[in-house]
Amino acid sequence: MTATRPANLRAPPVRARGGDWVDDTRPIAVSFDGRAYTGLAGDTLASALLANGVRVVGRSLKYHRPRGILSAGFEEPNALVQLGKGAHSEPNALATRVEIYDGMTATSVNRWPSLSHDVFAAFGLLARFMPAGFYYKTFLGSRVLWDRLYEPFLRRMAGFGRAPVGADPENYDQRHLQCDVLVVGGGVAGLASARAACASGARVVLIEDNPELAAGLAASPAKEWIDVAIGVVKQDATVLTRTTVFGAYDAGYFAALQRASDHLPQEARAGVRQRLWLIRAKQVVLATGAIERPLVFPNNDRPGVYLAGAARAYLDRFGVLVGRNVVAFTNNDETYATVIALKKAGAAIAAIVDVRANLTGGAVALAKHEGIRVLEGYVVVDVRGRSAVRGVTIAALDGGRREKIACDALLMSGGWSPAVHLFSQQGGKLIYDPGMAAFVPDRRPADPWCAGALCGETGVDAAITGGWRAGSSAATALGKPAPRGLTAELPDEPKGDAPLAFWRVPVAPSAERKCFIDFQNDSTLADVSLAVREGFTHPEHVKRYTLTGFGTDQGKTGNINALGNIAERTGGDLARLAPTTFRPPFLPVTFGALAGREKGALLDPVRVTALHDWHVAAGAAFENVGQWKRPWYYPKDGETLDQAVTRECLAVRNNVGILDASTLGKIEIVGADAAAFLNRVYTNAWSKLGVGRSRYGLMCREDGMLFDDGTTTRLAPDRFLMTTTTGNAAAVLDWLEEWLQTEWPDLKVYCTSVTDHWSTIALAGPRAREVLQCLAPGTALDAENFPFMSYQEVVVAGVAARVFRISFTGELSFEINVPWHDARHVWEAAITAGAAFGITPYGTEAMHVLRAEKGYPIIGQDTDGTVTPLDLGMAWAVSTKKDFLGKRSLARPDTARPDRKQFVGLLTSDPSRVIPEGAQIVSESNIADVRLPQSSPVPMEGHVTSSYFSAVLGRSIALALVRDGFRRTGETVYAVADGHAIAARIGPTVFYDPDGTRRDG
Amino acid sequence: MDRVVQGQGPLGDDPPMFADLAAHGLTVSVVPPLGQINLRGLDHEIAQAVAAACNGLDVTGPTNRCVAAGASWSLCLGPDEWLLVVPKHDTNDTARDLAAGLAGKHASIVDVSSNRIALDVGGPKAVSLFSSLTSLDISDLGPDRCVQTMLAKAQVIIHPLAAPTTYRVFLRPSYARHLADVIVDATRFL
Amino acid sequence: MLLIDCPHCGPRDETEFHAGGEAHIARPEKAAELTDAQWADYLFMRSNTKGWFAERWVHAAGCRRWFNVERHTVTHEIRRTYPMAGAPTEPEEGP
Repeated sequence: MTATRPANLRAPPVRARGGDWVDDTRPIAVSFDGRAYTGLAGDTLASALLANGVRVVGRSLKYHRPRGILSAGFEEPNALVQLGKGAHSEPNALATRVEIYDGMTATSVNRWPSLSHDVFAAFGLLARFMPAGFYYKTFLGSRVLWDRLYEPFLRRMAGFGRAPVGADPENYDQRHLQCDVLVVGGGVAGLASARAACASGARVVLIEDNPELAAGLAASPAKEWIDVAIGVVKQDATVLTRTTVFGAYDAGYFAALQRASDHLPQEARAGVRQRLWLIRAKQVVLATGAIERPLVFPNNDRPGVYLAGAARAYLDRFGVLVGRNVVAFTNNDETYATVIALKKAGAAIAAIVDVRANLTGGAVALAKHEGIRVLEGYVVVDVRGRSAVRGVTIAALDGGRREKIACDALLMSGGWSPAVHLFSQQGGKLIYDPGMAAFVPDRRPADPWCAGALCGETGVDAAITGGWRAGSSAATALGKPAPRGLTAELPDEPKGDAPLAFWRVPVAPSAERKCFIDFQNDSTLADVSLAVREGFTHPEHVKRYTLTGFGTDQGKTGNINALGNIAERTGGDLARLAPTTFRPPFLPVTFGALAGREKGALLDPVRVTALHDWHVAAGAAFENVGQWKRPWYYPKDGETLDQAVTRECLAVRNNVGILDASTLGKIEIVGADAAAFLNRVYTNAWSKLGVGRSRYGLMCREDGMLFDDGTTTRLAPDRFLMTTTTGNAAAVLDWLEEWLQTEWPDLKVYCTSVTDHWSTIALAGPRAREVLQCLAPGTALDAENFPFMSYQEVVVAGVAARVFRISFTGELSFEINVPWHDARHVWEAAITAGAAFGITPYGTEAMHVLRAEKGYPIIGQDTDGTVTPLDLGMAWAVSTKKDFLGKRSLARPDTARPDRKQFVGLLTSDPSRVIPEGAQIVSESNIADVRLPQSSPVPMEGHVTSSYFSAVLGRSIALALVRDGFRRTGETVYAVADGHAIAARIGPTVFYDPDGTRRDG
Repeated sequence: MDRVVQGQGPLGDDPPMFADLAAHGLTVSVVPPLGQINLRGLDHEIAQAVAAACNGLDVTGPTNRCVAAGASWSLCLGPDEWLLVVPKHDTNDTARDLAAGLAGKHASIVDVSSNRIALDVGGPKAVSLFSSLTSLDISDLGPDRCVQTMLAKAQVIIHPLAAPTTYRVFLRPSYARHLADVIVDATRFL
Repeated sequence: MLLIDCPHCGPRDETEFHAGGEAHIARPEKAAELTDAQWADYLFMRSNTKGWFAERWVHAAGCRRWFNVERHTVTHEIRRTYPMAGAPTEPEEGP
């Protein structure tokens, strides 16, 4: 510790003695805001800073008031730090949870340029001009001012830490876990629950946020019981520490984040930084404890004002005294034990200020016996000291005398709010318990089971008893035997005085601005008062008006105080106000942990065909089609996409091309009623299709809109092979199964997916027959013996293959189907045999051009779920005789309209001009309006669905959906894109070989 | 028609990417090609014919029952669906015998030998591996059970083998490299 | 994450299933004879129930069988799964 700091930020070192969690023999060097400090192994960053006398750790959001450490746990609103550097950096880490390691670097957030000289601190002086809702009221005026001045300025002000730059280089793991009983919270109650459930023979998971179970209870009278329980539970249950259950979802599903190696130096982190546990529990016991509330009084946010329980935790766990001369301000008995512990550790106790009067219980008596000054019926009305507490002013509640008391730390306790977050996330109802002055779980019905401070079972004895009961109930609810014995024999705790609900110290309205309710959002008593005055009386409205309960801490310390003050201000009954909704996550969760290994190359499955390696070796460029990787084009010698596609298209038109069509969906449909079934799902008729023949079919949803298309072949009287589009393979199979199982179970039909079984190799072009003949020398392949739209079993290159004479190019074409394992062999044989005929592999881009030249639509590109078969001009494929899925909808008034958008061809006036796909189409009479930037909307006549340059035609071609398009043949329309209007004439969709003379070769 | 070639699956026979897993307590191997037949029908109508065609293989019982008879397996995928797994060279004969035995009955027999490949996953960390890929507790799986679920978004069928903590995973060959990558990635953290 | 008890495979995570909307809506047998309004009612109109609701699910990643589920639309509790041919639970009498 060679660094020096301004005196007002520092106090003398206060490590009083060893704590339960720290190792006195292992000093750890850390850096905070560029200065070196020494802590002990086991310290949190907060305890290390406190031990070094650091008081100010951040600035508040709105007024930039100096803020210190308030708590010792996950409820901390102030002590947010930025950890690490570069891509490893983590914003908004809680110093109260961060375990230090050698070389840790942390910086405070929300200060600029530095903690001690913060230019925004002047906002503190402007506090009365920035009341609740100022955001909504101030920036309504000028858009220019907002863009140029307010927003950049506010961005600088707001937001705490900085998001790391660059991809997160850490590893995150995810695991699933199943159990009979999940116990959330490894305090005494959780430990007792887990032990009881284990004793019943249940499969138990116990999760604790802290590094150790039963944290900070080394000095407890029940230490012996605790030590035994820890030993048993670690042996019999799955115990996860440093793990936070942050989400409770339906049906016993929980998500928990384990900080697997955050406590280790960067270089010592082997493998996983954090692990996400996804847990399905049959029963759950919540033993999540309670969160201490601040009291609401002027300057209750000064550095050096601590939650009383935090002071106790810093002493017991880390041996750190938060002050040498301490005042405590409380409404409950728990604070007394803390004060006595601090006194025994060497602190002077200036006074205990208790809002309650006429106290008779044991806790107060013990304090008085210790010689501690107890002021009953008193409150703290002011805190002196700006960056560190120098003293307090107290006053009698009845308005009597005031007194200034010097101190260097103020402990406060406004009572305890059960940590009901997970209980509420599961939909559990809360009720107000006036005796505890807190909202507690309404445990009817008793699932989840609750135990410990969560439901007011305070004190070790009550927690063990309640925890045992909850764990035992959870296990027996699953039919396990009740666990036997094992409740602890503990000394009775002295009878105490009940806490007193106390939501604010009565102060003048002008002082309410300094009474903080939500420390992180700088929401004050004045803000809540203003919200109520302006009519926002519902807690959800007050939350949004004052920002109370937002931020990284989600109001863990402030929400109930806000509620209490709303009730007081509205004269309402606190019991009738509901706390604002609790939603996951309970604490912030790193995105990386949620993503797990689903990132980068593993984000989504990449499906490849049996021929993928050949395509890669051939230098193919790939295109994603659904999850598939398909060859897009095969550039040769530095060709561009256009050059390669032109070459591939001409090869198919003039010689022969070869395409990997394996990704097509394939479904085998078997059964006596298979043809009848196809009649119902396809728009055309199938009963009369002969064995060995293929037919093109269209499929509609019940609304009459096209869903899929493909060629289906009758392999045998009761057996068909259906093909589907690549992207729809799974959806079509689901669709078929849905109708077979739900509406037509009487049909004798079974469907089996064979998509991966069969690889499909398409040979297309005038010389396709010659290539296939080389591979199947004995087979008659001429048009008479193997006609268009037929199928044969052929041995191809020595492999039993199913060969179909179907064509997606308009050329003579054979689609060869062979099992996956044989595909590479057959493909290579075709390439070898085809060399003499100029065989050329072609990709999906050439395939798209070739089919567009023939006007074949692609379902999902040329259609969009609002297009019927009739809109495509395919009335020839729609039966008028039989019923089929979607038929009735084709007669609905809107579907039967004659002027629907219809599928047409477009030829640009300039043959070299290729219209961008997606371009909107306007009519000639409106074209003038298009060029006027401010004119009223121009009627949209349709849009271009496919558009290419056709090498074989030497000009551009396009397909489009145009309103009333069938009747507008010959009309010139304009396709508008990129600020240009491209003239094009409407015509037929078939651009090439309209008579179909080429398909027989 | 007999096949004269036998090509490789998507992972080859002995992918080097699996060689390093043993150091992490995991063994993954590619099962040589199996004969696989998808069978549909009602068990009371077809059980006898199936038993006759497949060495007494029993296709009665609930969904996800998994039984072996000799070198053949029956994995029940649904109330009227089975995956019959037979030695590769028996596939055609078995399909023919089934077709003959089931003639006239409402049943479907489809050769799907290349529709899935199989991986054998074993070793002390096998159960941990599955726990990082699926919410199902694989260690709960009885010796006569199979499950159908998703591993890393790929549909799979898993059944235990006789060897302790060893499981056979059937998956689509088009997903095989993805799943193999995920397994190798997950193994780093077991 | 719902836990859905597939009648064939047992309880599985929701992600293995696809939802199929309201159950017990039969496809009209003679669609051609329906008025446009009647057909639209079958095609588009579904109840928006608060409370117990019968809906169809399919175990897409498992046995691929469709079945019915009775789920509470407020609490997401599932009280029953049953085959497609099964009948829905009669609504309870109000007090």
